[in-house]
Amino acid sequence: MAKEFNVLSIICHMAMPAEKAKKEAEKAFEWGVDAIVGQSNSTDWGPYWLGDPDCHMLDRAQVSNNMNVFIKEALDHKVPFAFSLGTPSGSNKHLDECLDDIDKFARENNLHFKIALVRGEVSKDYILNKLKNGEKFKRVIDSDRLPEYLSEKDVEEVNRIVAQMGPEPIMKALQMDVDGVITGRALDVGLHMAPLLNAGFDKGTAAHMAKTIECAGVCLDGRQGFTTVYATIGDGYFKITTPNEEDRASIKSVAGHSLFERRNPFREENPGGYLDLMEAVHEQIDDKTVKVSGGKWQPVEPYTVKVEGAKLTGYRCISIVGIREEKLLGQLDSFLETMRKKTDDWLSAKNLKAGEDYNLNFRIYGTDGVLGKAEKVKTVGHEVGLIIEGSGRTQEIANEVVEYTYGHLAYGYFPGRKSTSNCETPYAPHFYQIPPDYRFNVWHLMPLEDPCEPFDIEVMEFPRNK
Amino acid sequence: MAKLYDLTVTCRSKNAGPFMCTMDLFFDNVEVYNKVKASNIFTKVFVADLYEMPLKNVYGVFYVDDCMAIKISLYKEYIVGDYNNRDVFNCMQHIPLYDIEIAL
Repeated sequence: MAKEFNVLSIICHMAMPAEKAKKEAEKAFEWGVDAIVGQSNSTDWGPYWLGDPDCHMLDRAQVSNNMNVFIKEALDHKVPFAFSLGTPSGSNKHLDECLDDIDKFARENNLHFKIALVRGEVSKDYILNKLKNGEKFKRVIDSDRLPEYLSEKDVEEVNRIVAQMGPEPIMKALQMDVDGVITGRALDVGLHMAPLLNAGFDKGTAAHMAKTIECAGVCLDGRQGFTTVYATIGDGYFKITTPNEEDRASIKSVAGHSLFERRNPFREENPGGYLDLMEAVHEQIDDKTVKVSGGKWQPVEPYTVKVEGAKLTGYRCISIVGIREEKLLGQLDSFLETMRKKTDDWLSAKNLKAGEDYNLNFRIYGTDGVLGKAEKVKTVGHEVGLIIEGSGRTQEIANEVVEYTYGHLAYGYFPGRKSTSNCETPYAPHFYQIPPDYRFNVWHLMPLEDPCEPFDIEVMEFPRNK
Repeated sequence: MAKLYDLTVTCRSKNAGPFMCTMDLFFDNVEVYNKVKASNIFTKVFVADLYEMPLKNVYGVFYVDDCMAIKISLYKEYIVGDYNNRDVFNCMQHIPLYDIEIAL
């Protein structure tokens, strides 16, 4: 085991201009880099990206910018890289878009390199076969919005499924005769752990460091995702700093980051175990560097990875209007109730039922749009922004909900009305289809005897043969 | 009495996965942090009432002395895919915490 191992970490879809990125990378290489690691898939943007079969990847230009800089830096300095791509879903479709861009870059710059590609998408049949054989996939967390155990029906309702690989397939891929590794859907922490475990460091420290750096510069004072982080692991400790001249790691930024987007600051579930941070210790060792120790790995059986899938919940249409009439603002609730009844009556005459075939929602910015029932402020200003939202079993139903409601809302009588129309309309056309709504319904743990079983590794040479 | 808006240096909320919302309050004064902690204001009942949620939706309240932070985590009642969901990233749910008053 080497005495120390240095990782330069980025978020692949958060890019600064290429020249700034190169400057940070070069500074890091002066210090010495053993691996460049970056994640780029997440469910944070919601289920649409995984659920919808046709949508393209997110942040394509930013991912391309970062891959162009950091793959070249890795090749120039003969240092391995590991990036999870397919932003944000980690599906084959999004991953292939990233690979196309990398291929184009390799071709245009006459770069020749080999990667180990580890896809994260698994076939529905693969999951269905396991369920048919009696395997039980428990929900990841105890939210009553998820069925306790995954059913075949849940799987049939989605277009595709991804499995969030742990460190093991990436460790295997990094050991192959390649310049770097690219994965589809992967656990951010697992991705960053892989090179550290290959280098022989203990799992608790590796998991703790991986968790700290997986959002790159967000663990620094500046909290900028596009700032790079330079992390060094040693025997039972790790150090965090940055090659960025203006930013720094502080105890507050590093310890505070372990709370970010996590429900429990002391314990984090991972494939095969959990990271126990009850005894984490932070020390500021110079102005820009924090040393951390105390993270422990607690193994858990069976080894599981999370599988994700999203089902369609409705087609959607919206219309945004501005309400400025004081008299109407004073009776908005009852007015909107009247509008709702008119729409329900119209649609029920066509055998369409609220709650089954469609939903009508009024979202009011200026009263409780942001906080809903948690809003304590009751005063209303001189104006509100109102969104009329229709969701339906079909796009036509969703559109009709909004078209019909808009007509009555814009012109319908209310007591005390002095004018003949009720709202301002900012756009023509006055209603707009928005992408369909999806919900994560597959969010369950797949037990595995072999952590690598679902994840085939393919060697890919760039530029690829046309 | 002082409001948490004035006592905290950072007060934020965010998704912790698609099914949970997590809120963090960071202090930079150890006496203030200890007073807030000792007040024991963040009982599960208090949190459920503040957010007009069923008690079972409060996952937990954590005190992280190492960085003088309090974390509150909730199971969301509405999630993306529900037609009446709001705040997709759950990044505005810390607002009700601002006006909470603590005796110093």
